Amino acid sequence: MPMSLPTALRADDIDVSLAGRPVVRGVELTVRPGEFVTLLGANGSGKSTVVRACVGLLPCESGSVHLFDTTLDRYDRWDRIGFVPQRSGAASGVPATVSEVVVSGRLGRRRLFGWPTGSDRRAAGERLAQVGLADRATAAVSQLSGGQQQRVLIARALVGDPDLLVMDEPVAGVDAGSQAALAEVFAGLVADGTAVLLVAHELGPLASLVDRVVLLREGRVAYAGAPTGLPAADAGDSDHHPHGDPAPVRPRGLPSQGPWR
Amino acid sequence: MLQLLDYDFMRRALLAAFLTGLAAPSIGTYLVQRRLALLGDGIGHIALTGVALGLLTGRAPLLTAVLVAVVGALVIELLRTYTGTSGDVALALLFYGGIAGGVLLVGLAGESAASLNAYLFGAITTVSAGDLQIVAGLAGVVLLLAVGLWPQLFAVCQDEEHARVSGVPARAYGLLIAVLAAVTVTVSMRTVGLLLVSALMVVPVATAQQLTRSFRTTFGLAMVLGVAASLAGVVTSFAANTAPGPTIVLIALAGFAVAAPVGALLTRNHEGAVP
Repeated sequence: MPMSLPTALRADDIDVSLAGRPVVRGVELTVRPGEFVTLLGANGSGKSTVVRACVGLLPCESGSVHLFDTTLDRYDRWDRIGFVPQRSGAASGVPATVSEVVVSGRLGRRRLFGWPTGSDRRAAGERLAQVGLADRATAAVSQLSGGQQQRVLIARALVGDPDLLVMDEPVAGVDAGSQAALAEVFAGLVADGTAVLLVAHELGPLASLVDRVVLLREGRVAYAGAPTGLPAADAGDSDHHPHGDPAPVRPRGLPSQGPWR
Repeated sequence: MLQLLDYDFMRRALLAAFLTGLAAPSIGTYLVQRRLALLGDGIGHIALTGVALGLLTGRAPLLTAVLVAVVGALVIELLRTYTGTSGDVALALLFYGGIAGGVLLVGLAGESAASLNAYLFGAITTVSAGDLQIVAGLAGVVLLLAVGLWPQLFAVCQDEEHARVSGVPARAYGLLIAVLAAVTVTVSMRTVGLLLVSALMVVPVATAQQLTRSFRTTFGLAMVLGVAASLAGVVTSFAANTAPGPTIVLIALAGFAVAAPVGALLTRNHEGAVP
């Protein structure tokens, strides 16, 4: 592929270590505007580590990451990025409404000492409607089901009208009906030119949207290309580890509830 | 009852109570949101070392306490961020270091540990005009930042990783919260005292969230409850001749005891309505 085409996200030969242990080695990843790329792999294959490095949450030991053709350390247009972190829920120690959590997704557009405006709240309402939670805007996030909280986090990522959407297992726990609705939302975004990077352990309900798959195995790219060319064993549920070893490459310690890690 | 306004020291006490009642829950809300409710207490212990340092060097204990508490708060935040020390272990280090340092330094100053009592449990009726100016200035800064920066602070405390990917310098805000907590602790030192300061930061928040669903109402209601408990505590302690600090805290806790069952009922009804 010619390098002159604009990219939303480009990782070149990145190595990432966690606690001194190499977890990701030599990974190449490109997402172009209007492209839906799925980063696939078993638990512990390093896929979360790759995306976390791509959005600057983890340092790369070597290699480089570009967001919209700007190196990560110089990148400052965070309002263009929508991010759904891998979390067990959207709640914290103090009650917050669904709407408050979603509005916080517009923070990249706001100045210091700038409080949310009417247009922030309108945008939140629209995105909540898209993820099927319009009637829950004033509910406490902690009272929603796990799948509903996940949809709140997706709405929060969408509310800033991102040009690049990065989602780490966003549909875990989301019911089939809502997954279909979300697939429609994502399809619309991609059609409008949004670049999407999805982390998943199986192609699953969003399979029809996927332009390209990057399959990780033990921190290395095992396959990159069209979903149709995916090794059969990896197309379905690949929750088992390919080599039977329980965890040769461990994922990061899941930040169970603590928002500080 | 209005006669208590005739006394200068009571007017100062009420004003100090109002300021701490307002400032403590405002920063306390963020601590609770980060699940660091006991941070205030840990900083309180560190501030004790600061007070003792003031006594030892002959400087105003309020100022040395602010400085030492701020340093302690920064250390705990940096420990958590860069060494992966868990929040509760980092707090334990503060607790023990602060108490030990405080008692040791007071001994060196040639005073008994009893002279720390005014700082441990508060001595709001001895607040001087100069104290009040410092308290007002610090409380003003805490309130301005805690209220003015709520979208950023809310985002950082709600989901630090998401905030970072939104371009918010989350670590800087984490440090800011720790520093504001340290300032608040020292501001509250004269009202409820260092041992009980965490109560004024956390109990109004805990009470408020029994009844609320949104962050903003929790934040606002906690400040209202904090002011109410502080003023009622000072008035009650004057009338009943009890120690002001503990009176304030017990009134705040009584508020929680009333709100908790009401909140449980509200929640149950609400859950019944969830599809």
